Amino acid sequence: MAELPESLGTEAEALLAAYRVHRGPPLGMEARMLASMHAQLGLVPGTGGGASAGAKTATSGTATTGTATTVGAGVVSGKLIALASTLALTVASGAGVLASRSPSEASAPGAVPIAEIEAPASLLEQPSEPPDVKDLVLEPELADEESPIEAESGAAGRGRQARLRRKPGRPRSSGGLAEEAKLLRSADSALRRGALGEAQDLLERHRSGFKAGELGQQARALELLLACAQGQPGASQAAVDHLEAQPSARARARIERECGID
Amino acid sequence: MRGVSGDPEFDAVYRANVAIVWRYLRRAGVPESMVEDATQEVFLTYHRRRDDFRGASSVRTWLLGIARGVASNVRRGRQRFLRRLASRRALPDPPPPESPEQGAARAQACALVEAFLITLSEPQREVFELIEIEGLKQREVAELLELSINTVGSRLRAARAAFAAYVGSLTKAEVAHG
Repeated sequence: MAELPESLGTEAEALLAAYRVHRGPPLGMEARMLASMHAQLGLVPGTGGGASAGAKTATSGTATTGTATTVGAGVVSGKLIALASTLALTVASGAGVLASRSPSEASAPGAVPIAEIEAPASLLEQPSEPPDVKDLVLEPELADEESPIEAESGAAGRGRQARLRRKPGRPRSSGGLAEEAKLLRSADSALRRGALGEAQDLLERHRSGFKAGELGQQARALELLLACAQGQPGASQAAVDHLEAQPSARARARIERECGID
Repeated sequence: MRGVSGDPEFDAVYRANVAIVWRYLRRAGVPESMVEDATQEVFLTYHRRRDDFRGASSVRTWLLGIARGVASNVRRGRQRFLRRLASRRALPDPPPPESPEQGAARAQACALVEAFLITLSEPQREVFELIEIEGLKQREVAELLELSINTVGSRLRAARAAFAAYVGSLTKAEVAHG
């Protein structure tokens, strides 16, 4: 078996670091849960970190567990990279500190508590300029009105790979993209656990709520997967057409497998 | 219970693993409204059963195994389980607000990662998330998912290659569009 490289690369690690923070407990939640558990367990905080340490953890943000890896400030450049890295970097003495995933075991009592790690929340106090996230959008893939099955013959002409590009004239909010991603993630989750009705509802919500959505390709892939899972007539053929129209579709392997395409 | 005057060992394990457990539960399908309670359930179960822990795996792997069971219970909607969780509502102090720019930028980056994760097969995604996002070792994932380490390695390799290509395409497109 070939050895895996140690690192995915700075940009990828920075994106994942931002993801860890965003998907972690909200600010203040760690301390709140710890205090609640102390109360349920009849523990009095204070002698060993208790709730007060939990509060410290919370003020350091929704920290990822991990060690701090110092990287040169000049290593990271570009908007995408700046976007992710600004989220995960703290500037200390002219160098960025990337909150990276921890390769260390967290099992032993006395392991470094995350309260001691430079955490992204400290960015709130950083004077560094935030990235221009408005310049980063994902291009929608398909027209909105057709269902994935009905659209099979037309997909070839319209299918376009989702990609980043500037759309200076187009008002957008990153909250909208986040909402859209959340909705699709929920649909994906429902699909993966076999809750097809729920997945269908969520995808219909996506179709009606994000007609100019920026994750159209992902939505389209999920619709095809749903149609195949439901055994809809023509679903496999629609999947074939979709993949022919989009040879670089990122969900190709999954669609091929779940739609039974050889 | 190890006494009423604090439990530094429990607190240390909690602080070192709470974010991992939280994210794991979310990805495992626990609704946002229930993840706080479910997270507590994981650690309370750990507290209750830690004397049984033999050290055959890491505490982190053990916690994720507990989280897997909790997520499964939540998904199945076991009424008794849900009632028990509901009876344990945490203290009602609201979390402090975060900077809008910070939240927006993080949401944007998160959306990019999620857009990628959707494209992975379930087996690849699970391995990728546990190793690349949560920092587990391959042998821990093999143990948690009851897979051979070679299987974990091959899934990870495929997912990493896909992620590298994805990030590369984003960066390339960004450069191309100025």
